[in-house]
Amino acid sequence: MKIVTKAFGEIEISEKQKITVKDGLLGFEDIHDFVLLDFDEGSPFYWLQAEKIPEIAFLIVDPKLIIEDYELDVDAHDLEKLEIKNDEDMINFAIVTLNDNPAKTSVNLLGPIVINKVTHQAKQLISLSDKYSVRHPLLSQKEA
Amino acid sequence: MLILARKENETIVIGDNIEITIVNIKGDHVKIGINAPNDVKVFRKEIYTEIQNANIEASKVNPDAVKNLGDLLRKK
Repeated sequence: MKIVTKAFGEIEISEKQKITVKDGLLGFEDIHDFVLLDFDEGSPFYWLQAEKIPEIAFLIVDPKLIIEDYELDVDAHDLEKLEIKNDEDMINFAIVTLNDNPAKTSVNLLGPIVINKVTHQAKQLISLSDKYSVRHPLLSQKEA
Repeated sequence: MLILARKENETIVIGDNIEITIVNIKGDHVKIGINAPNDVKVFRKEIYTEIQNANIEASKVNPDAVKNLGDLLRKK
């Protein structure tokens, strides 16, 4: 099927790219249907694009890429609701908040998005660990 | 909003299984104890607000700004 995306205009997507966020993301509780798009070939970044609203898209990244020893620390009940029994069942992402100044571009490690790889159901969870911030710099000081 | 006055060590009961106790009051700081079932999530409201604000800001991303970042992102 064809959808209109923020990053690439109209493109063809497949059923297996669809992600359902039953409760929506915080601030976007009414948007449930998303598609996962590659940012670029071989890039660890992806777009979480609202299926029916072209202008709503989130750049997302594997949090382990930002913090090597990042550990998902969330309420077990939330994982149960997503029917996730072990780490192999899921993939998780952090939303990137881009800024025109790359040094100010940040990653939300406090509210990770967890996706069940089989059912493609997803939810934005809240980290129980207080060591992760909502605006963690994407680039380390040195790179920026 | 229902407003109840409570003193230290007094409790409010919500529904069948949530209890909120004023543990300690010191100046403008109140320590609150919460007894609730595991599936009831308790967070400071600022956390929700912070994530909500970050989401809203992130959704406004300009795809052109991403292009500028492209090389940087690929390097990761």
